[in-house]
Amino acid sequence: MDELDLKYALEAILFASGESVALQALARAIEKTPSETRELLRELMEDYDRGMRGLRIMQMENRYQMLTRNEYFPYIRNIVKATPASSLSQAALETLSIVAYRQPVTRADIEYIRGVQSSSSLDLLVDRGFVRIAGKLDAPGRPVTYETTPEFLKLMDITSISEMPKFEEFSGGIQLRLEEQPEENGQQ
Amino acid sequence: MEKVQFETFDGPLDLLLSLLSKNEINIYDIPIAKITDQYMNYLYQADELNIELASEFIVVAAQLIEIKTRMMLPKEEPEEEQTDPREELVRRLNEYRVFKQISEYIKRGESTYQELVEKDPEYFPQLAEESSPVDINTQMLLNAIRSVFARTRIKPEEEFDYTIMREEVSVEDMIESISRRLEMENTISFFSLFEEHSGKYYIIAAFLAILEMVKDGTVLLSQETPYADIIIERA
Repeated sequence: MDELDLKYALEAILFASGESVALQALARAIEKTPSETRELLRELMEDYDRGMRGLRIMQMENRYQMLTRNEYFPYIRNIVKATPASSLSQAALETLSIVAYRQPVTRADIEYIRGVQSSSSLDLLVDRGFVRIAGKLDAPGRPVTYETTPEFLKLMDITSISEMPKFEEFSGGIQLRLEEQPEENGQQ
Repeated sequence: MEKVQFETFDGPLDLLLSLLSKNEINIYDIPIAKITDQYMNYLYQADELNIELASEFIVVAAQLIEIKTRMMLPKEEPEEEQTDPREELVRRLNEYRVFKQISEYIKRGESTYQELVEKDPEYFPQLAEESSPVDINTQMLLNAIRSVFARTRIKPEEEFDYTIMREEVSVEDMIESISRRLEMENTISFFSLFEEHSGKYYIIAAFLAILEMVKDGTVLLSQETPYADIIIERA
């Protein structure tokens, strides 16, 4: 098979898979190196983006998934009784924001920042797949820490967590006079 | 009585931020007495309406009162060394305020996310059961029996009726017959057990017979490739 065929082989795999597929698995399937595969995927993604196709391919870190383009959702809704997924509550959104910018972060840290108990929000975010347990902190009680997932990247329509705006952009204008204000930008 | 619209908050910090913005107060210069009064007022209101607030609201109330008290104490130390009792609260409010803004940002992403449609993974039952050479699944057995029927020109789909017929040949008879042949021949071909005119029940009996014999350990079966002829030999 020549290069062109392999690009469409990836397309076929992504269609059949439905859910996101890791780059390594795709590379193995087409018997190419991960970097060659990534290049083919990049071309395929460009093909899809050119001319606003009904489908698009999203990249979340090293995972790829075929999805419908959100702009066409109203048309989908005309034919299927599709209701959008339920929205996250304010509490869940706040918790998710903290995980995104402070990861890996413990529940206690989240609760301190929010000033309120957050375990149910965290559980919901884990269930919805936006947050997962990252590991355990080497501290008394060995509390678990949380981090964001590829699904969170999909939520934000970004390829990598480093594409999130810097924390300072949100605090912009507000003079944070306290020296220990974090400089982190959410990089993992 | 006037109907009160009781506003709910996500936590004490949320309530405080709301009070600050209602009063157009600079976060770095909080009139602590005024804010504490308004904060406490909210708590009383909740109590009157029988609305149970999280215990964290009470914790912050205590902190506010503590700050208020400390600010009323006369300053003994020089201005530079004096830490503002409000500092910790201001730091937390500031940080919380930033995260609330981030929440708004994530919420905007969510509306697009909700309009993405993905399909379920394809399910391939035949692939899920994909076999190693030693595994035999029902599909392979069916293929094997189909190839036998094909050889004997029986079309199972056409001829199968759902009446149960008396066995023309018993499995026992078939085992007996295969055993006798194996005494004379080293190996027997499975296909050689039938002839073109062999009936369906005869074939099924033969098939069951060799399965029975494999189970008893009296014969060994081998097959070059799937669907090929099965070679029967003495164990």
